[in-house]
Amino acid sequence: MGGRRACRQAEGIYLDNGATTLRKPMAVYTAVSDGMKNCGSVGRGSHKWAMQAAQTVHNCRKEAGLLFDAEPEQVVFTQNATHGLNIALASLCREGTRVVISGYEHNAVLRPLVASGAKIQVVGRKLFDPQGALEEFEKAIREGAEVAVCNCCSNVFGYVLPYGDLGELCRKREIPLILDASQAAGVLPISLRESGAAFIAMPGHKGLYGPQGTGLLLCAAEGRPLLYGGTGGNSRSREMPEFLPDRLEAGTHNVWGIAGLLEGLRYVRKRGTGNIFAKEQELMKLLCKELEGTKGLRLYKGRGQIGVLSLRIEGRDCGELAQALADRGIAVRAGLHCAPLAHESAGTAPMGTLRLSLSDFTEPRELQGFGSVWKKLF
Amino acid sequence: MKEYYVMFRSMTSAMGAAEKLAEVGLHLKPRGAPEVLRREGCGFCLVLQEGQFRAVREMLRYCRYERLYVLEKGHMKELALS
Repeated sequence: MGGRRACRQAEGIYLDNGATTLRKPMAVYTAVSDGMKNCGSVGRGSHKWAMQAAQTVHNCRKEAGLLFDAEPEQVVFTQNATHGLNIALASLCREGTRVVISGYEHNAVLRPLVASGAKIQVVGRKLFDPQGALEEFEKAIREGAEVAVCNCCSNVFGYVLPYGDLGELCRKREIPLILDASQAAGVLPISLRESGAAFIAMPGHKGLYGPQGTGLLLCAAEGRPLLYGGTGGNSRSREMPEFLPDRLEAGTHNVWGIAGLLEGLRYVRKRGTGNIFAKEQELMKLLCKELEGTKGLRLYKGRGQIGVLSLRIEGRDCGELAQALADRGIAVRAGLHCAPLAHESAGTAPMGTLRLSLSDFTEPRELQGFGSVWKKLF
Repeated sequence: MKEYYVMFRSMTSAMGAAEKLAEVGLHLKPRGAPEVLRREGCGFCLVLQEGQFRAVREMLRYCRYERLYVLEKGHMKELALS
């Protein structure tokens, strides 16, 4: 039972799943609570509470491995996707490293790269043009790029970039690739084995329906530690372990969060990412219907887009619109969405857009409710 | 009576090995390694009795262990699977 049962949220209509999914499978809440009562710390003892924690964490690695075609040891737990991306970027990029990135990268990629002093080349700025993006990546790699970084799917526009073909290209050219799967995980197919990527980072709290404070970094390459500290093993050594996952997991795990993430992963695997994507497509059609006829409306739509929709209304400020909706119990996000590069690429800077983002738990009646409020606003 | 200590450097590999052995009917939980073996850098172990070791000896090759020791008459000796 119970895959599809989610916790009832407080009244209102939540369309900000791109930031974090609010409604999770019931099993996630139960698992976090059980974890808090029964789990000690992993690898810090062999008593039953430490072993319960170890088993939970191991089960989560295995489940992630099954979903993403990775060995359990290749699944590293992080606090969120930003943490994972920082590890990956610090492992591959130094001052002067020539890095090619897409025009739709989040600040979680852009800011660490700027801080590192890497030489950044931005390609694929045209929105909803994956073929064009791939060609520009190829040119950049031919001309000497040493590392490639690509968002699987824009958090602003739901635009799916050609991450599969790019992985193939990078594998042929032996260029390490970092994929940001923050919006894609749980909705689009992600395979560490097939992707050709050195690292794939994702949060636990969006499309994987886990708690905040969780994330996964899938590692096909050796990573450099970002954090140094205790790992629960070989304490005599003054150095971080050489092997994964311990090398990249200093400190106490968020075991309770990982317990919840395990249930989120089980839900996604059972449901199937294909089914989740198909549902979001149907919901998107409904959403666009509700928005139809709005004067001055510009919708940013493209083929294969996931359940993330950006829009603008001519002459209206997105921030004010978002506030008006919030005052009426509807959650959306406005502005630059921590992705100024995406807005510069798509021509929606400096104001940004109003973004509505769906989940597998969004219901058609909620979109109809949104539609009623929206029509009254205009 | 001999005891076999299958040593692992991390809890992840110890748990993975325990799962592989469970597939052939041997259910063991990783334990903290004795001090004399912890000095070798491995924190966790699976402890097998002689009969158990004989039954799963071949399977151990696939268990990503770090080192193997046998404890006999109070002496710990490293063992290589031939």
